Amino acid sequence: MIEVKQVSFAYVEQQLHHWILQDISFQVDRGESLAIIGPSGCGKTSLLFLLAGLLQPQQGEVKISEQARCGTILQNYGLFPWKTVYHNIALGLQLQNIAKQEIFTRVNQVLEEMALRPYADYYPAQLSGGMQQRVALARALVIQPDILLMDEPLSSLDALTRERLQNLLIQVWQQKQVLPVIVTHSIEEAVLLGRRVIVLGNKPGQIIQQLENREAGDIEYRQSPLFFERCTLLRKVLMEECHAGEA
Amino acid sequence: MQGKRNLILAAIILLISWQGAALWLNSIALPQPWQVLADFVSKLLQGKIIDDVLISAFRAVAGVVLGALTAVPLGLMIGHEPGLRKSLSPFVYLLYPIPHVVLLPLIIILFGIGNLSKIVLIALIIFFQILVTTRDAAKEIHSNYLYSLQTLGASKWQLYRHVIIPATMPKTLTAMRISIGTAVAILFFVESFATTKGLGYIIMDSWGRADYIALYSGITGMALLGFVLYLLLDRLERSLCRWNRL
Repeated sequence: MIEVKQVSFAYVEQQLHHWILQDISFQVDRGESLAIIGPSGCGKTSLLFLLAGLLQPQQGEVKISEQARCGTILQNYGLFPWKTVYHNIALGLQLQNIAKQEIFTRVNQVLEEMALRPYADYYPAQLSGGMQQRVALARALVIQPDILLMDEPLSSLDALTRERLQNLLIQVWQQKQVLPVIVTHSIEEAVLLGRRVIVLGNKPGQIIQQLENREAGDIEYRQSPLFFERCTLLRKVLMEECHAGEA
Repeated sequence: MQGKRNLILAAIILLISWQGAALWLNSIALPQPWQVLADFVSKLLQGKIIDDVLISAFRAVAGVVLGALTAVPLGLMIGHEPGLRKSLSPFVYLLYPIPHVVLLPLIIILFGIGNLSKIVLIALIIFFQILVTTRDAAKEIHSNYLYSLQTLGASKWQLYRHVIIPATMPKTLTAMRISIGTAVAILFFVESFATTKGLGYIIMDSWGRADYIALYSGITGMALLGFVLYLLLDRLERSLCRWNRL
């Protein structure tokens, strides 16, 4: 469903190339999930933007299956403060020129699923961080995406809310047959949610480790010894990368 | 409620200060406030000043609307489109500091001596105030808002409609509120030529006749006009940008 082939990407400033990502290749298919983790500034967000089509690589290619729809949740949820919860969620459908009645039905359905119906007329500023995140998820899901791209979607939440939303994400992933791609700086989150975990190294970002993690997506997994083992492995890889960067 | 109380308190303090200054100066150039208010109210009751208030309000509002209708779209485009910003910003920097009132003779040649030239001059002066504010507001929009909409497949017009216009609305309306003050102040100048109607004319005419009570009646009318227009814009901001006050 997603195929990334030898992708390199640079920001160009006054004709100078600042390489952010170099020679990135991977493939993920329907039914899987992908977590991208790495130190700050390693190009995780740029990689997600390349997948979303917001950026174009200088080298290589990003292939997404034809007809595949992408729902996106950007950092700080990307909700529009000037639109109510209902209109934030409805926007994606409005842009596709879908009939008002169908928009109404689909938005209400997703509001119900995310337990947001009583808050339909609230503005984002009137909601807690956890609820804002549910609205962002609802907005991404209402367009019935095949791929769900998320940039550190749970980073600013407290531990309990974060855990609840991780469970919600797992539920969505399994019920909606959507392929989640999550950029995170939390090792535990990457191992819990990514059937494939990609670790990016620093400056320019390169893949330094790809972890097959078939057990991801099982809520009980976070209590298992294997989960801790994999977290420890990733922590070690990241620590080594950070030390190499400092040296 | 608190706002209204503060407003009344401010008005009382201003009137007391005015009264004190008038007594202290003891000059015909600064009459006491009760004389001015009595004159203003009696003219209002006799219907003598209503036409002047209405024509001044029309000129100020039309000037601000014309200025905003041209400055807001251009400001948003310059702020959002880097290419346009690069090529047009030097013009803004060069033209903004010019005292635009000096263009009056040219404006009269182009638009005649009627209302249109007065409205165009007001619009021209406030154009840059609104342009610079909306340009900066559009430039400062967080890219995540734009990206969010782009990933939903938005066209350029939809970006303007759903992100750029609403995101900049509070600052645009603030710029318009400031412009209202400027527009009312410019009335004094634009109504000093080729007219016998308007609060600016009343001020100039009374000044010429050394009728200082009538002069201050005109000033009071202008202050009230500015205040009412300011309140209307405030109300507009409350209803259009409710999200910004949460």
